[in-house]
Amino acid sequence: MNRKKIYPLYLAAIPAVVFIVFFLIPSTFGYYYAFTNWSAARTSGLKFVGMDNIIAVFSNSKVPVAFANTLIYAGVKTVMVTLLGFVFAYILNREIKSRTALRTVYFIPAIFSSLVVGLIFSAVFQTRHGTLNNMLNFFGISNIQWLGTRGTAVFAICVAEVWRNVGYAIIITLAGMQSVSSDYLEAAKLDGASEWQLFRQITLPLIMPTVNVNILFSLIYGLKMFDLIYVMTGGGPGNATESFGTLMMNEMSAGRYAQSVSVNLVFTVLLVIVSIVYQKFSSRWETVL
Amino acid sequence: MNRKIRRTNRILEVILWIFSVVTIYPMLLVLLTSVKSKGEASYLNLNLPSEWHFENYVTVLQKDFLQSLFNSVFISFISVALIVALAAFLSFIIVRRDTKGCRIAYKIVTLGIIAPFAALPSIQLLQKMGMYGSRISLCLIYAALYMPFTTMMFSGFIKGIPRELDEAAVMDGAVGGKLFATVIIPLLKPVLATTGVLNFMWVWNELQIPLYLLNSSSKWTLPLSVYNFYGQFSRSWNLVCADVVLVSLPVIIVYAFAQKWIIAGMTAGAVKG
Amino acid sequence: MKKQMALLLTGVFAISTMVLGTGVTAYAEGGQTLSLYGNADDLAKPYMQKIISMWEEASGNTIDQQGLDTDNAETIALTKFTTGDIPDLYIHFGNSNLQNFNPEENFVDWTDAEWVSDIQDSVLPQATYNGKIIGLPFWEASNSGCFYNKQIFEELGIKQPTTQAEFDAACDTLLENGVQPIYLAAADGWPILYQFALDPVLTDHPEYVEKLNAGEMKYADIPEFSDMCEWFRSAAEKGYFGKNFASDTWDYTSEVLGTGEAAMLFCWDTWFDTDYDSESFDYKAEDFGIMPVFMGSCDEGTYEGGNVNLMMANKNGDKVEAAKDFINFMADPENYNQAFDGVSTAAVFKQQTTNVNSTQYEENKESVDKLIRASSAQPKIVGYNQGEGGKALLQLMSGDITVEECVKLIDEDRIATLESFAQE
Repeated sequence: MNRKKIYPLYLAAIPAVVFIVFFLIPSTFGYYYAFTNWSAARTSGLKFVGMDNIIAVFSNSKVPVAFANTLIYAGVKTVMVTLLGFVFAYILNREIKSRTALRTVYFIPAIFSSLVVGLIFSAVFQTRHGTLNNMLNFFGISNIQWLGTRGTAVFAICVAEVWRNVGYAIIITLAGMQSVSSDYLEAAKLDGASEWQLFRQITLPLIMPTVNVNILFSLIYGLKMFDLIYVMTGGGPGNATESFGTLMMNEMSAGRYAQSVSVNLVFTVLLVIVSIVYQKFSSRWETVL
Repeated sequence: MNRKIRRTNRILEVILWIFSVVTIYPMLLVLLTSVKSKGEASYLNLNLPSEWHFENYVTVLQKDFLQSLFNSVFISFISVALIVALAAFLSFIIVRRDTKGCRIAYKIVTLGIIAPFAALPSIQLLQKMGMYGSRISLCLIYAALYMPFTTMMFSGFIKGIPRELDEAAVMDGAVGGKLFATVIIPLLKPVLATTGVLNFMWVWNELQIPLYLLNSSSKWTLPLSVYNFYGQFSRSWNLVCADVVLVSLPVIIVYAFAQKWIIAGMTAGAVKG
Repeated sequence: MKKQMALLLTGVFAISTMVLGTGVTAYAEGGQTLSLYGNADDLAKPYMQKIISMWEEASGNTIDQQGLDTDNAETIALTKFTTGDIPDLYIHFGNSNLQNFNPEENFVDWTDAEWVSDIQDSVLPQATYNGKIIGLPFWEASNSGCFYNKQIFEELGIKQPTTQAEFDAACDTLLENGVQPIYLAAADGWPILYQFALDPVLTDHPEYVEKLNAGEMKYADIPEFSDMCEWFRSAAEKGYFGKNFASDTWDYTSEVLGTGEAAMLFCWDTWFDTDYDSESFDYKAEDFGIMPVFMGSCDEGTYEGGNVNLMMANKNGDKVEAAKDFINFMADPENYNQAFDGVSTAAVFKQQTTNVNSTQYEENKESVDKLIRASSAQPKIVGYNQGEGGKALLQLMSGDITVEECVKLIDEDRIATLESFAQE
């Protein structure tokens, strides 16, 4: 059978064109600006400045903190979201009476945009009249400045982001679990397989691709986080909770366009590396299982 | 089901409901705040409002609500249809054809979830194409932006569908599009529904991109209306929450509908013989 | 099959919404529609809405108001201008960021307009760019200073301070009596308002602005700048801003002042009318007075004059005549007096009669008129940034960095912007 005839290229033509024209081209062009002296005050007659801007990114005093934060946000988010998503999806896949209601309830956080989630959680973590502090006060503990010190602020942001994203992980993993053909499971049960064996030998391997998407997705979007942070702390106190995304936005709003794209470019290279490394790992997992 | 499994399930059910407090609390917060007066709303707590200000919803509804609602619905439906359809075909070919070129193409598509929306070049491109400011251009940009994730989702699933099925269908004379429609699509139902809902949600909630790409407020989408109440000096939390509730309702409705498809996928989409 | 059905339905639905959608919008028959970009907050001001509807009625034209997201309005507008998508009308503050929008190329030159002589001297500089008047200042002007709770001051026997030392002593007294001296919403950055410290210096030394903008001078070269930083540092240490300033936000200003938890606030007088929630709290607006700001850089204290928003017209647009008509309409005394009727503001126009000066101003008129300086730091220094400066100062106040490091941070940010805007 000629694979190329069965799966003709022309079916992929339109999607490819749309993707290339409306995304790839603008993005690539966008990166070109990092090597110029583009700014809000100068839109034509741009000069090529080579690597100047890129080098400036590395000497920016805010970058180390932002870098560390970005890794923390992404790491915590990915681990917590994937784990919780998996656990909840597994439970919600069982024969539980209020399953539909529970699924809706757990999914609703995902409906809110980052802006709204940021608003809600800044209310929760407010020093004054914040929900958390109100509860602590009830137990006689005095107010904690959640968003006022680095450690607790980073924690608060992670909580907000995990809260929002567990819903996604649940429904994606669920979809994967439900695509596992029940025939396989029936057959294996007839052969006397235990529940753990069913899970380990059939379900897990078949949903690994989905879980992988989940992890990669969490990782990449975790690294890109910015509007939630912006709303909750503005990157503060000082620069304590900045991420690469917020740094980029800062440069953008100051009109330092070329610098903004440079941060973006350096960051993208980082993300590409992460993505490639991850994909190598994940394909190894998939075959092992 | 034996008794032991049923008992475990019941315990799990209870545990899940206990944990759901964490999810329900903020939603309750938003709902309650939406009917408070401005002063009370700024406390953002679960106290019952001293007076119930249902007219907040009326205030929010006044500003060109119907127009932005139509815009949002129009843009969202078209975008989602595009995203899902295009991604489905793309992933089908890339995964099954599996040539070196295809694998490279897949890697490039994955890069798509990394690179952010580039406002300025996109606007310039659309201007050159003569469609800057139109709602259709927004749909096409969304299609391109959200294609990578959906493609990755589909790819994962298609990889899990045994090639024997394809081969059986080819024996019967189905290739290309027909093969896709008869074999793959029925099995993809849960994923179709899931990605449909997710994409609908993302497109619906988009705040930044419409501001950049639309040039007339008659084309604005619904979520942008929140900016009428959220400013630098005084945030009318009560109105913001009322707005959030209204803007979130359609998404919840879509999700409720899609739930049936996701479950239907489980019972109907299994391998038949 | 299902997918085809779904797509078909979508198509039908889409077409019908398009048809219905365009029908629902009602635009004036025969009149022109002008586009107006601006910050959503700014457009929402009652006098803006009023003047717009007044003109729409009088002229039969419509203004399509596109209020951009407050946090990103600058960026979004900049991007649009850069791509050539320039609206017929544009509102922007008359500060140094305006240069990014190429005022000379884009905006109508009003230097010879009749109404120029009707604008107050303290405000006119902000409407000027390279010697040309590029927009109409149509905004509230406030007197900015330090609010203080008159009752608390009286109870504790504190008199209105006239020097920095007296001010600090007043703060000490308040602290001793369990009242937080100043509420500083440092988490939001901008409320630190360090331009108060700079205005007097720049008024005495106008050449500093030119030198800063030419890269010949730095904040580090201005001793008063470091004095200001040092004041903030020691004030925070002494507890003048309370314990939670790192997470205090502007949302709670009403409550903190109204309950008497804090006695003072750096702010602008029109705030009492537009934002203060008088009904909910014990202390009413009349219980507060305004006094000079003492930030370590100017011993007699200072007030700051208003920052105004400018209405500008696209001189290359195809609706420029209608746009000019709108602006002239706005500048007509009959019209602006109607729009600003009862609005709390200092007078921006010389023939403005219907505005209401704040009680705080009226009570302390002498002090304000004597010590007020035009807002110079924020509008004129290229790269002046309230938010970034606020962040650095917060780090200083939290004890994370030294005064030199703080000045350096703020300088670096300013210079980065200066360099990226430099014309070579």
